[in-house]
Amino acid sequence: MNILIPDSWLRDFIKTDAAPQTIADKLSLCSLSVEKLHKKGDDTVYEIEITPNRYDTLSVLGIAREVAATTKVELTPPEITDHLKSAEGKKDLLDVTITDPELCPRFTAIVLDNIEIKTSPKLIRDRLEMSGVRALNNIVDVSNYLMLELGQPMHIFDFDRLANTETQKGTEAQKEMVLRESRKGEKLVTLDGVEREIPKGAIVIESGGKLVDLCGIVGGKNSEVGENTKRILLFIQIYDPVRIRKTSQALGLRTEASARFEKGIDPQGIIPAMNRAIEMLKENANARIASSLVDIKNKVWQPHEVELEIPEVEKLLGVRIEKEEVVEILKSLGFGIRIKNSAFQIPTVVAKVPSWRDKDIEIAADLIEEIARLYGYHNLPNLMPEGVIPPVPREKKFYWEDKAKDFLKHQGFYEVYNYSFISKQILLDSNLDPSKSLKVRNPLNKDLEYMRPSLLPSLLKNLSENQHHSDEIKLFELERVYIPQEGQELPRENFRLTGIVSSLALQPFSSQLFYVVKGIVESLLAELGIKNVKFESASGGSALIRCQSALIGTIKIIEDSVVVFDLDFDTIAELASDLKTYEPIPEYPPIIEDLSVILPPKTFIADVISLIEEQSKLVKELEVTDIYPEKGSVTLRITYQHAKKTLIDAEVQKIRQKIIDTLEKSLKAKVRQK
Amino acid sequence: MTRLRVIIWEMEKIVSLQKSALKEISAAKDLDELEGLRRKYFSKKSGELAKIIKDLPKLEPEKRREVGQLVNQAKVEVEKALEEKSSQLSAPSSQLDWLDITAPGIPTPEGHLHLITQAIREISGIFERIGFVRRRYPEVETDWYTFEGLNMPKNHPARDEWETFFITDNIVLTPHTSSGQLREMERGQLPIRMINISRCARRQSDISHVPIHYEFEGLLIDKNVSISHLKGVLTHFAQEFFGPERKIRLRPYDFRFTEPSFEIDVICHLCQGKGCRFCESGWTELGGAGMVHPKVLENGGIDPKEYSGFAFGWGVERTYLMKSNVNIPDIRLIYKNDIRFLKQF
Repeated sequence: MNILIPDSWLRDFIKTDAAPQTIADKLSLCSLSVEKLHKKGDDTVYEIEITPNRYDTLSVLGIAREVAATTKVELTPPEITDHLKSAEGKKDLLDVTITDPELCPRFTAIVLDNIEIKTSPKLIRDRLEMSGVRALNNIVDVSNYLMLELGQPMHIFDFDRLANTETQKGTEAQKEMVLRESRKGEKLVTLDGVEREIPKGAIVIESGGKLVDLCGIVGGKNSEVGENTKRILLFIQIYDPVRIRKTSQALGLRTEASARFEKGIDPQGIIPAMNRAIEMLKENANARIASSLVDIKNKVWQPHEVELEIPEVEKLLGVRIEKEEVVEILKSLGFGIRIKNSAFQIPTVVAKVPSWRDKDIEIAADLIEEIARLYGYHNLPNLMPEGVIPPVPREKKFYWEDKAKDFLKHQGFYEVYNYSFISKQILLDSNLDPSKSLKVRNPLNKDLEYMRPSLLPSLLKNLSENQHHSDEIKLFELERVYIPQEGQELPRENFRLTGIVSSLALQPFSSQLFYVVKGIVESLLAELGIKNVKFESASGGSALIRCQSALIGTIKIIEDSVVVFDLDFDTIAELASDLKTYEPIPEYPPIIEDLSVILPPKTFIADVISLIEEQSKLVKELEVTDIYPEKGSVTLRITYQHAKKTLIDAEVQKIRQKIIDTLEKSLKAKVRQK
Repeated sequence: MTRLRVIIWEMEKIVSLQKSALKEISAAKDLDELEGLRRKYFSKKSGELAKIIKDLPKLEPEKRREVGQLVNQAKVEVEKALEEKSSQLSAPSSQLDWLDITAPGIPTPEGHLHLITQAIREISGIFERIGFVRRRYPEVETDWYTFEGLNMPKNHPARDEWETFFITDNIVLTPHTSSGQLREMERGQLPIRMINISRCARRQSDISHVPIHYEFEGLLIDKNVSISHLKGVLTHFAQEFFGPERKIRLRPYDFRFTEPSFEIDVICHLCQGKGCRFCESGWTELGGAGMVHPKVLENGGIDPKEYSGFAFGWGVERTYLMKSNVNIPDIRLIYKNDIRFLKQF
């Protein structure tokens, strides 16, 4: 979260001549990132990114502390006058019930009267505006001003708009307040005029049977300070941060106050904030203290200590930092420091954590971070790690991925990367069952609702969006798909290599294109060293690709000019091999001859080929040179070769006859004799 | 003796005729000259080889056979040479005299690897060279590996930063590659040098955010690992990837799973660190890093008293764009897959 800090305001609390740019650079390097400097008239506004751990810097004072420590200048925190002393012995005008102490670790409130509503002095209005907060009136402005200055959010009620207690006595009425957990379905019109249904479990205040405040987030319209306000209730608390966060999330309502309450509040900052507020209200609105202080401490804060063995600093930084410097740095950040020797005589710093860093500093590493950043990360050397290189082999799949991608690129494919999400409609259009796909509970929109169980729908979409740019398109993607697993929390993440080829140049489209794609797949598998690949016919113009009984993919005709392949890359990576074997180069010449065969309709060439190969070991190679599936005619080039001698015609003649006889007998084929 | 000598003489003559004929033919510059040569050797009246053939019947039978064989062989050779030369000379002579070398070559298929693949290859190569091993872990992951085990308890505000997609209360799409840290530690092999490059998902989509992006994450765990080592490794990366003059710096930051945590800046390529309109400070932000939090080490079954380590990680696409200085107005274009875009990488 970013905050805006006017330079002039910052300088109320530090003594420095450094220019804003110098301060900004130092903060960025050693503390918090100053993202921008905005010029505002004579003033400069720092825009600073506050990381969640540094909730203590969500204020001008917090930033001043950092500037003082990082630039080594003096911090001059606001002077606090004890106004609360004069509240002692005054009447108790508020009857508070807190139903559950966990909701509100610390509760303070006080009544002020004699209120004069007007606009705030110019300085206050200007500073609020520069910090991005709209000035309203002298009362509301005080609460906003001090939230920005000290980081402590506060609320101010119009005291007279709260309900009286039932059992009041005397003339001066006591007002009633119940701080409790919200119930389901309760509603409140908040300060912005919006009626909101409060989620169950929020912290709310009820007065006279109706809600008056959504604690820590936004006040109720019904108790708002207005032109006619005479008495106010100044209200400063620490709330349970988790409830504030949950409520603000559920409502989608994040306010300056809620952002601070949910991250952390300085437990020692409550009373100073109360005093500062009373002081400002006295000055700006003529306020007078009209009641005693209500101060309920449901949780008493105790400072905690963190120990740090000094040699650990060198271990984590890589350079030696002397004990004196360690101590100096920690002191400049507000830590109380003691030195002791640990059990093994190791010099150890015992650091008492300042109240505003209570949640942030928990372990020794946290202290080392403080030391390191103030020492300056930029002052540390650049060293290459020593030590051994782990003897862990690289997963082979990465290698096969690279190889497959390169191969396809050289075949003219474009690689695509799609989102992992697809819509329900696309699943249905692709005959995929949404109920068997992983559903995102909080998708960005309906188009991105499901985790894709197949890469194909994305590629079809890519194709249709590109089709008008080119007559021939070849795309592939190699990524994970997500398959929910029965009885298991996590889905199976399966790498697929899916490609799509569309061409308007081939005639007749689908069958020729099918063979083009099949050729690519065959060459790809050969490139990956996968042998004994078998294609099996499946329904709807598609082929199943098998290797060693594993199904490794499919090729499918989508429409006349579109053919796709979809490969299971996990299985392929397991089958792939770089292993080469050497076969002696034949010494004796082959005899090569063509055989033309007319096949009965719907005969698979693969059956013809395996049948021929079975007839003799001397059939070394078999190549389809011509094929007209429509006519059932095919020409096969057969290479006969013997490893140890030159074949003579008579030997080949015998095999040829065996082949012809078998083809005619088993397949009812006709062989055209030459 | 005489007869033999005559035969030898005849034969030598044939051999030398054949030799000179072949030489002359190969030197012929045009078809006319070639025609002259044909006449020189084969014209019926005066052709030198033709004459010998014509005179063959006059020779004695044994001599005739021997000479005849030789002269026939010469005739075949020379005719063949004439034939070849003739087809060579009659081919369009333009190709030899003048070739339009500016005409386009015959194209090979044009394919493109996506810029993400190219970036991943380069990045992993740089880290693999210094002993990091590439890994990949689940993209759909439990809350433990994604948040809780990384020191982000349920309802911790730090979780908000990650704009997470949920499948169930306990199952999320990993918004960062750090979810692989504990899984890597659980392999139980130390020391660790891992580079994990994976898809991440975040609930955001605008001109500078995509709901899906790639991240790479380095993790090194060993004895006596310090922030200075992290600086060394990141400097190695920045100088290999961006160029030898590009320095890096660390700034304090906050991640729950590292302590201390940093943001890494690299010197701006436009102004070399002087400060310009693009970078303002002279530096541009690269990504996040930190020393692995002791609690995270413990959650991964590693004793933080004995081992320490660092982790770093950031977006692949952004890093690539920063390097190539490719100015893409809307980062979502990267996942649009318009072939006119893909063609450019």
